[in-house]
Amino acid sequence: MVFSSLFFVFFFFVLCMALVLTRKTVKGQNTVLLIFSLLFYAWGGPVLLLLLCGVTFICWLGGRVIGWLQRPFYRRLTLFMTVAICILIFVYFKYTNFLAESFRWIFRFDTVLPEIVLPIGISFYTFQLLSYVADVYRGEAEAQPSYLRLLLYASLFHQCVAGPIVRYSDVCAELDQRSITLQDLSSGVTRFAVGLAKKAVLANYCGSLASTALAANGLAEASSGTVFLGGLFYMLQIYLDFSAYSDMAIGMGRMCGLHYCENFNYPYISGSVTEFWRRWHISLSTFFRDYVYIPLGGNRRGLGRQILNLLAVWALTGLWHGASWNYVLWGLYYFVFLVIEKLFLPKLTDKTPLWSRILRHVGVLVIVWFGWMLFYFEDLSVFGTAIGSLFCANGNVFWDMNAQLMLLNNLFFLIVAILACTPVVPFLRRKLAEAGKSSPAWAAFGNGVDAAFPAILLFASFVSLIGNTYNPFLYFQF
Amino acid sequence: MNQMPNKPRSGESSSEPYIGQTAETRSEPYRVRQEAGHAAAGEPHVTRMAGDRTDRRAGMTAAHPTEPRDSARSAASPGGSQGEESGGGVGTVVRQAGAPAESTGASRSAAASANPRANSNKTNASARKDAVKIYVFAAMLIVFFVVGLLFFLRPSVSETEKRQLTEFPKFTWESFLSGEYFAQISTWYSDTFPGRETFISLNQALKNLYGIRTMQIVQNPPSGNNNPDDPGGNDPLNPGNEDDDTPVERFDTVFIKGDRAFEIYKFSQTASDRYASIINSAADKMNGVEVYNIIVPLSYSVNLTEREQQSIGASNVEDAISYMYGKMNDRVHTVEVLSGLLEHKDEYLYFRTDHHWTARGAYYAYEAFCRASGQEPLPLDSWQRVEFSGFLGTLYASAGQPPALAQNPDYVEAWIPHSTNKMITLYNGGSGSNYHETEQFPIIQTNPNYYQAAGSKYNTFIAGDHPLITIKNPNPSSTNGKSIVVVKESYGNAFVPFLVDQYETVYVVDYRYFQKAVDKTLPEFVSEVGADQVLFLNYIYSTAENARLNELQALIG
Repeated sequence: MVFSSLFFVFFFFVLCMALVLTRKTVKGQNTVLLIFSLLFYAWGGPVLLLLLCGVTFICWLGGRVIGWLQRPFYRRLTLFMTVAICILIFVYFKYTNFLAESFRWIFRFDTVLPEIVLPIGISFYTFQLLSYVADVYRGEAEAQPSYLRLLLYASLFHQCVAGPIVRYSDVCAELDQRSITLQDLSSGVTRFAVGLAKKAVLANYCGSLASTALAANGLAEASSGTVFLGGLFYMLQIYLDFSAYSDMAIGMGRMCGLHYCENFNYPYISGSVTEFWRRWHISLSTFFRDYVYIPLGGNRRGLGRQILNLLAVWALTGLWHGASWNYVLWGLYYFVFLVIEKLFLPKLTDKTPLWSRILRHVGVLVIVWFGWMLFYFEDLSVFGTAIGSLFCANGNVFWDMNAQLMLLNNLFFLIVAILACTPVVPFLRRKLAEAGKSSPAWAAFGNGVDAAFPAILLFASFVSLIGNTYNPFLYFQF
Repeated sequence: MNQMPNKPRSGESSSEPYIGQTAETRSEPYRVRQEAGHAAAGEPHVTRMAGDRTDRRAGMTAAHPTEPRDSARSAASPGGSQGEESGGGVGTVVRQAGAPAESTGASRSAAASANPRANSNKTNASARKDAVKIYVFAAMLIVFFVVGLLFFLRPSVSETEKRQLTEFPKFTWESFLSGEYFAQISTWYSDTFPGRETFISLNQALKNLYGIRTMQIVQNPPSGNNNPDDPGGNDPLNPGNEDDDTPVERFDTVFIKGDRAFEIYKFSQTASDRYASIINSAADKMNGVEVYNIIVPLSYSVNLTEREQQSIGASNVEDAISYMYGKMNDRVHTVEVLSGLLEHKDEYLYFRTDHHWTARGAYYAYEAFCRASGQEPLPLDSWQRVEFSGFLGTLYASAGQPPALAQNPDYVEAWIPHSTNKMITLYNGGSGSNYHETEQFPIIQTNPNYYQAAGSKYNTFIAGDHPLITIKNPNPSSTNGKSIVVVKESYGNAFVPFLVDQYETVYVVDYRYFQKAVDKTLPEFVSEVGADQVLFLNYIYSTAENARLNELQALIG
């Protein structure tokens, strides 16, 4: 099931919330949430649910043993064993085909590749469970005595299939004790509606434009303008889509009294690639920071080692996004820019002149644009064709009617989608709140807008979802 | 509640400029930021209210004053750091709009007590607003929830999209285990939602606001496995298409200018060579039969300027046709129809919402054909004319039902042959493969209620596409005494009626379906019925489609 389907929003979610809000105890709520989470997961194929339960069991057992053991050696050994089993399962399901394909290409042997279905959300729940085991080992969390409680943490439908990667230590207390306040419900409703609209109204349409503009068969003849616009729409799609899932997860969590970490913070307004990665998929980059980069030594063993550590992190980041070489290249592409920035780029200060600031922002957008193109095309030769067309190297024209109409037909939509990637709405709402302080009319207007906003977004999403058959789920790869 | 020794996430990291975080926010850089950034998107009042979230977080980490996020947070929310201790143990507190004053929860009252007078009014107003917001949102959810349950209101057929909507799946273990069963339920739920068509047209109206849309190129995304709701299926409203595997006509690219939609053809040398060689081999195999070939241009070659054609990437139809005609040998009589159409370009030659030509357009091709075969064409006004309005065709559906087209629908005009309006159709009754001959369909459907659906009105001509239709003139002495086999796709439908009065027998072979019903090749069939002439009629788009070429080649044998 995906969040942006009518069945989820108007059936599954309504039922779930009705049952949660009528339970008197946290225990009762947890039972409802667990049952709905297992149903949600089983929707994509009941067999894969067994895998989720199995991996959770291994980590639960590992956590219990680590919590019970005293001797550092045995604790370390158990940690190692548990993590190794999880990672082996993860690698088996996600990377077997990729590895076999790569080895076959290197060693030129012929084997029949096994057909392995990638269990949905495996990258998210495996990482969540790994963080649990590691946190127990480090003493940042107590081992969870109840298997079902840990299963709830791993399978919670809010974040199980598309993030954010919620750390166990962040939610363990709330799993046991929490309260649903009016304010939580209110902010959760807004957040959920914002996410749903970002996905259903903006991201899906951006995606359909991108996939027609970047369709592989017409790419060599496409004008430079078409390729540019296609890439732009993809860039908008992937942010709006991915952050929409996080918004919906965070919103649904709040409605249930759970507070998840933020995952995106307007990445496209960054002034450097470093900043971009502090604003993009935050839960993943902090995961790699805390569980890979720092354990490897971080920056404490000299610059050479630090760069090596960064290399490891970014190769893994790339690989996490998909079992294909273009994702690895995409990770390494960012590694190169991060290292260049670290070594050569002067820090932004208040004294940085305006032109230099503007240049940096534009530079980041250009780098990110090319990054998404690399991300989009799993076939590197097609990527080459696209870049060729961009620079008019395929004998194609710079601008044609196709590009012209794609721009004109969607001009207002494009402006709205771009604004949705910037903090302009929060800015306006802050201004409105300030105006409301001095004038009751503005206050009433502000309250009216605020109260109507989620319902309007919900209706717009409904209308978009019912008419659009194009509704992709991008994270099967993850 | 924080019994565990909650040490900072990574002790050694406090001096860790991982990806360049500044010192104060290092260990939890994002959290602090978002309070000002993302979260504010949802609640502009977050700072004013010293929100729950902030308090709770601060409370959870209160045991570790060294942790940087702590200091950052308590600075942002005075009085916040004591919040959680009192809020924690209470268990669930679900309070809704009824009791705004008490609903604040322990942590918020802690914040309020730090600054009681200033906050209480705002808290009330804000709680009221929150309650209204939640009620409005919940009401809408519940309305749609209930409407979604009204299964008797669910439609089963979409008229505008011309397809059967998804049915509720039958349970099988196989589909259950693969997840297919559940996926089908989700698809069924949204595909048959009550009032679907109304909401779709509302969505189309909204999309018209997306930009400046006097001209449009509508490109349908390539259908792949990315498309969970892709229904596919057959065509219940089009009784002519009785085959289950009839391709649903859907065009990759539709160009719209004003209220007129265009299908776009791209020249392919390989396909053109192949088409010419198929026709050549047909002529070789049917010795002693006159073979004619008509390639019909697309509407853009008549209705758009050459500049416009170029700018949308459409190939020049005249060049493409003369290229193919040039490749055909002397045994094939090629019929040039474009110039005749261009002479009458201001008349209604092509539909604006459908990819076919009108009967009027077909008539000028008939004139050209008569001249090429040495006959005198009958004048158009010698036949009785009928007209049906309210036609919204394939391009309208493929372009996602743009309002610009819907506001100005097409009409269908047809001319009824003098000698007979009867024909024998090889028909399988819409199911299975038991073909039988029937006289149930007339050549021109004159009952205006027969094809009521706005999308099916092109079936007025010879009842749509059938494997084989036979038309025998009851008055052979008035004819040229010849019989002709027309090998066609749907463009032939509007053309065939004009031949009826002139020929003793007209056989209409739809090469896409013929061999499914009749186990013969074309040369076998032609010699069996002893036809004098064979006319291949294709619109130019078909000559570039591999599927069509394969079918044509298979038919020739």
